[in-house]
Amino acid sequence: MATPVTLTIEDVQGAADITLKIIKIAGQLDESNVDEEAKKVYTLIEQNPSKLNIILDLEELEYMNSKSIGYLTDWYGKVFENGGKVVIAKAKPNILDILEVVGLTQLIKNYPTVEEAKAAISQ
Amino acid sequence: MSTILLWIISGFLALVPVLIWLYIILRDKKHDKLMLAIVFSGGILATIAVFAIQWVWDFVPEIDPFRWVENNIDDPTYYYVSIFVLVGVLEEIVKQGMVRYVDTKTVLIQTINDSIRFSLVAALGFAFAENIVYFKTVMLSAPIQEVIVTFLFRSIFTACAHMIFSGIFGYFFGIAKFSIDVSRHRHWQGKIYFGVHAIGRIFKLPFAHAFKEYKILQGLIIAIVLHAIFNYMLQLNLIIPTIFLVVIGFLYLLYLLKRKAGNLILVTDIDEKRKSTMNKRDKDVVLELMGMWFDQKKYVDVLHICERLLERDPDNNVVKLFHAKAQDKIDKENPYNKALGAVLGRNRTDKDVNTITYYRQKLEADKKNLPEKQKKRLFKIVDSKNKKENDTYKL
Repeated sequence: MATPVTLTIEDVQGAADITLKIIKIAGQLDESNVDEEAKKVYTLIEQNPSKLNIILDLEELEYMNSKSIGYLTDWYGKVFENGGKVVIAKAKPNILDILEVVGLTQLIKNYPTVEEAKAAISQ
Repeated sequence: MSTILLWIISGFLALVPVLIWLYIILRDKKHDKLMLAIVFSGGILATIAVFAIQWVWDFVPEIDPFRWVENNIDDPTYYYVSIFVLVGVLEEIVKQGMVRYVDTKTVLIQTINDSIRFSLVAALGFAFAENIVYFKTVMLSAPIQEVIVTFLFRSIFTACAHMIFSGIFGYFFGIAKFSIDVSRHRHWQGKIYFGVHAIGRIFKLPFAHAFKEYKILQGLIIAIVLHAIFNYMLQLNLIIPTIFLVVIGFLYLLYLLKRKAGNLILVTDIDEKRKSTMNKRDKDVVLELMGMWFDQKKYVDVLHICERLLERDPDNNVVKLFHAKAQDKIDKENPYNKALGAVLGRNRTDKDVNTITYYRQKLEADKKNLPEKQKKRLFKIVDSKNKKENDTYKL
């Protein structure tokens, strides 16, 4: 049985030529659910081929497995190549710890609030 | 010529190649000379042990496997294969047994390469003693041309062949000795060993212990098979394939000895081990990711992760193994790897396909406002490389 996790995508009004989405992930991303949830993000990236900005709201994300870090890196690459940006907001210390050791925080910055993330991504 | 003089000349002749081989295999690293002498003597003693076993079989022929083969196998191919396998079993177990015995009495082996080197030294001791007997016999009965051919062939190829069989067994013995760290490392790489699980179930052993026994068995079987192939090819007078086997085998040993993973000191004092500052569950996620990225050839990313993780957990041998193996994978300087690639006709160095490092460099290029042309040139090669890699995550 899949571990409970929710991934919701919210539209945010941004500048005219830029699409801003907030992806909120809550629960635990593990082997039982990560592939299914990742599909939603890939669909989003495919539907917005250029200048897609993403804020990942990880306030309620308890755990992410290695595969989900792989997906996160891949999402970043796809968005970056198309002129977009990805940032994280409100990640828990354990999640941030993993991302720092992996080196992902060099690419994807974490912000303490969604508002600060919005301000940073709009620059 | 007196018998004593013949023995002395044979001993001198057998010593010359030993000194040359010792120089070749030990020049890269200093070892305790006393330990080398003990292991070398162990190799000599191994020949005496083989003679002793055969002497016992002469007295109790019912337990002599060679006699059983002689009496029960008529087909010449099966007969020679069986005899050479038996020779391999006997000699390889006795040679490696000496290294293992010295290792249990002292802290002989601290790295996987120590295990290879000391096995090579024991093999040289064995070949030295065997060669004395061969040289003496041939000097008594054959013309000078045959003595020279025997001297050259046994000094170069037979000694080298013994080193290859023992060295490869030594490599597996080294892996077995550090089975706890190596099996954990392989676990994170997602490698599945049905043989290890089978041994664990049959003998009710924990995974690392079963892995240890499996690796010793694997090393023994490979050494025996190579030994039997070598002897069988010589029996059929297939000189060129025999030389080819020896050259490939020795290059492979030299390649193993140059690897960083092999030179990693894996013996650790538990009392001096520093505590990790990273939560175990989080660390496991990172280790699993490293295993995944290692398989995807993201070696530079793995190297950087290891460096950061070692700051948090400095004495973690699994992380050190990942670090050394990633370095080995992108090492284009190992001359023996190049030579092996040339002989086997394929490139043995993997191309790195890093992701984080690649995008970080791209970000930096963006920040520096490099002209578009320069950026394109800078990332042209990497882009085509990464295009393939990006398909990995496609669902």
